[in-house]
Amino acid sequence: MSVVKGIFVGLWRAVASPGLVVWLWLVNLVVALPAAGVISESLRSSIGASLVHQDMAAGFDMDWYGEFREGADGLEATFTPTVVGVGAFYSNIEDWLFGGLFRQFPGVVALGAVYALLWVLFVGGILDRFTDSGGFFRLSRFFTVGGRFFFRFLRLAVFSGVLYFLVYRFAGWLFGRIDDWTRDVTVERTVLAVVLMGTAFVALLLSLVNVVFDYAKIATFVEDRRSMLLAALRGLRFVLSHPARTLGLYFGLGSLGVVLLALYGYVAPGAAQSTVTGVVVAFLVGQAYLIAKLMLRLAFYGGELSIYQDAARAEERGEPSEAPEAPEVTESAE
Amino acid sequence: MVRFDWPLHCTIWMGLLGWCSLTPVLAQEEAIEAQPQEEAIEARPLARTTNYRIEVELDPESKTLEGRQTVTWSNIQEQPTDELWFHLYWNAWRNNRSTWMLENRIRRRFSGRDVEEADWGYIEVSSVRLLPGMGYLGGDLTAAMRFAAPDDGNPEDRTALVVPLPTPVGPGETIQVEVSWRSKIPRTFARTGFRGDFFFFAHWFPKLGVFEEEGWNNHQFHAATEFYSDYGTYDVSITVPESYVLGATGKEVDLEVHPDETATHRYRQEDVHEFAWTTSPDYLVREARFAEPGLPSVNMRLLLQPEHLEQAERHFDATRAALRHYGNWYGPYPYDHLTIVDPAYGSGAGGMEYPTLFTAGTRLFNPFGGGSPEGVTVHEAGHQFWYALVGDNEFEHAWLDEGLNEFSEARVMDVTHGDSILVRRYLSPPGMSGSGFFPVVFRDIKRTRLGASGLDTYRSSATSDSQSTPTYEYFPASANAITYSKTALWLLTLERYLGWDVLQEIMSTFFDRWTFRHPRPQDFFHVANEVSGRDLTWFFDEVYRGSDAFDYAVASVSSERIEVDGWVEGSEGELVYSEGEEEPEMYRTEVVVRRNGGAVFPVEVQMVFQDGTEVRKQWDGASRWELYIEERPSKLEYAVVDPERKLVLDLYYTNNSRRLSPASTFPARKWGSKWMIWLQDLLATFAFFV
Repeated sequence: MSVVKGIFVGLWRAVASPGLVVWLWLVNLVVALPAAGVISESLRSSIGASLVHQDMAAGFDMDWYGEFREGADGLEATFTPTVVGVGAFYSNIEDWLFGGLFRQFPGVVALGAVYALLWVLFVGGILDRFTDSGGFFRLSRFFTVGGRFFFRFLRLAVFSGVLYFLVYRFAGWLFGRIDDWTRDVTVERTVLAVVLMGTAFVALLLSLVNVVFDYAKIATFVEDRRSMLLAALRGLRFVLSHPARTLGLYFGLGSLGVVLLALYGYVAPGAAQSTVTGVVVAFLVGQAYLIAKLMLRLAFYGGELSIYQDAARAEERGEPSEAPEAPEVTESAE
Repeated sequence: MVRFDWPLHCTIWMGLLGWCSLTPVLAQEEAIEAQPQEEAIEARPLARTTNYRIEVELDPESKTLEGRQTVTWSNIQEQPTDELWFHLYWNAWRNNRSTWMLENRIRRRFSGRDVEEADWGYIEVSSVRLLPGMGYLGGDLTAAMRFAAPDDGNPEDRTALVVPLPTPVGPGETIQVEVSWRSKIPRTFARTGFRGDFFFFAHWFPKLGVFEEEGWNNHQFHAATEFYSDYGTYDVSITVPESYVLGATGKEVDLEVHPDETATHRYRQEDVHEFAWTTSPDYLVREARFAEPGLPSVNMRLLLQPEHLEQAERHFDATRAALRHYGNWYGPYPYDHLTIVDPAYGSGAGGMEYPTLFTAGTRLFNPFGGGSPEGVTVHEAGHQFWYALVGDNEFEHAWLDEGLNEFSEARVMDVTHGDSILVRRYLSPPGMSGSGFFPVVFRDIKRTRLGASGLDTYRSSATSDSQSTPTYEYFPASANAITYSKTALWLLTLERYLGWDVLQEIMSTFFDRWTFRHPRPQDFFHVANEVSGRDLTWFFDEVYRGSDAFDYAVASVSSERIEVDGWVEGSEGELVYSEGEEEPEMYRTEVVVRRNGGAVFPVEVQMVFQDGTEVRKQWDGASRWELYIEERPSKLEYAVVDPERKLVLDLYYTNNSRRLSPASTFPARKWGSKWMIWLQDLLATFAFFV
């Protein structure tokens, strides 16, 4: 299967699973909702019955924000005016690249951990949905399959977490060295070029870990593997033996994500909605972006699954892989 | 608005300078009549007191300077002195034991741990000789020189050097000393040093302190303070590699190219109190002219980083804005030249003022409207007025230039650009210094003049020090808030209280009276009282001598239909029992206002009713709370303390207003929903890892 076909299959599988998409979006919404309620209450309490509410209704009052920030701690401190529009997503991309996610307010990190655990539970159901030949999306089956793979995928998440941790440690070291190496460089463009290269390298490492463990999960699911260490090695071997297809698909879909972000940046609502309708529309535009991003994540799983299954079929037929065969990893049945 | 008659003003000014340069003392100004509460200040002499002739050579490879200077100093006080005190500012970076380093650790701006051997800097005086002549025999003073630490007794601090003299220098007498020295150039500290082949030099030579009535004023170098020195003439010959572009205080009067591929640039400037210079092979030079009716023209020379070429005009425009507005508001910039330096990336030399030269500072992709580089350029160009021309003691009263200039910069930016757009920079990898590389503009989020004046900075430090504390004794971590922000805010308060015309006249009078002199705080207060025709001592007691915070608030509002309970007179005078009967269309409105802070300022209380009528009450602001009662045929809509926001020092303005109706949840839900989208995306990012 070609990369392009893999991308289309992945996207089609996501598009063809509206029930799954809606379910995952609802979970995302529901997990975020209580915290949003806390923030809204903090804002309401701070703005109170003052005349500031007029400014905040029509736009944003930086003078009020200075007062709010002065007294904000914990979750409140995560509220900044840059949550408007595409700025919110830039922050998160930066946090993803440099490990800032884990330096957020502990409550937010805890919420993120809960959400990540939910996804550990969901991945089995997602893969099952994509291998299911048809029918309606049923939560009972989704959870049944997800539950069957939960502890296996949790172990995989622990393994990958160690690797992500090492990547972030490396990133800290790398950028510290870049700072040292460029300390006599007087041209910002030069430093920027080096930083971009470093950032691209870190992003590549994060992506490699991600793609390897995506295939580890797929191998576990498809082959009902029990040893997650061997599954991880199987994922690594698969990526190494099919680099063009696996990485081509991964970075192809990743590029679509960048395009999606750029499109959202173009239409992202700012701060100026002063009516309920305006706010609702702005919220819906944001949700549309999040749903699209969610579907893109599903497209990764869908495309990767199709490539894996296609390669497995080819191996059964004895067709050669892209790269020289790596030593086979065997697994004894439990 | 006061406009200066430039030709007349210039003639008088030049005449004074010429006279003073011949007789190094003693222009005694007419005594200023004192207001009752502010002490009368005798105008101090106007003079070229301290003149330098310096020869210095840069070795860019070893990062060293070799220098020799002849200082001609005149004692303009009425008492003799048997010492000379020099600043050796660069010794602040000699090691991690200096007072500057210790204080910066408290500020958490610098730990000193990551400094490598080549990064430290120092200045070593190798000889000091008293030159014969002018009634003195001359002699070598090197052996007697010693370090002093007058502020904190820190024996490790070597930023103040005392040179005993064999014979006291009497009032009106002049001596000449020759000082030889060698410096190791630091990787930039306090805007001074190198990065690659970029060099910036400020406070780089042994520099005389100021001899005052009380003796030598020669503080150690502190983290939160800057500098203080006398006016004079600088004649400086600087030898650098021939291929290097050089910019300096003053104007180049000679250039000599040597066979060894070095060149000596000779710069000269009269009537300045500091000489700074910069050199780099990479500078692009651009020139432009400032011309404004009623103000003297100025040639602007911009030393620009090549990657900022497209921002050249923005630097010139911002400098023009400063020269125009400061010139019209306060007084003309008297020199015909000004050098703008765009320092190298990451050099840390940006945003600093020196006479006839300043460093701005910009980044790649800086969006217009975000306040950079315009803000820093206006600010540092503005220091040509408040600092270079009005030369206050920045060790003791730094607010006199920094605060006045912060206020003026915010005003110029407000007049020329309005509110600035919020810009946040992204791509800030961990472990790297500096902010992000890519700016993102949030066009509909604006930063107001209050933000530009530093209200947020001040809020967290409002009570940390009274401004009357000598600046070098401020708590280092909050010194900037008290020096810059508090002053800018109380000046804006004064502007709104007195009106801009009055404040502008105060500041222009102060400027005119203290140009080329060393004013003290009382001098400003005296001018303020004199020009405004009011005794503002109460105000300066609060903002300068006190450290209390201002915070007025509407504590509660109510508006209820008037009911009558009990015995009242009937229509024919008989007693009638009334049980909660309502008077037709009359409401009793009660507004309670409070003073939450310790500081006092007279404020207005505004009550706006639902029928559109409005009542305003004057409150002297002294009591802790006040109750205002209004009986009117309409309910209250809202109440506001200080509706025009004259008191911009009020730390929490949100509590200054209160509506009768319950708080609207719309803004909270609107912004909560935007925050929620951020959180949802963050959660999705967490899911990446599994």
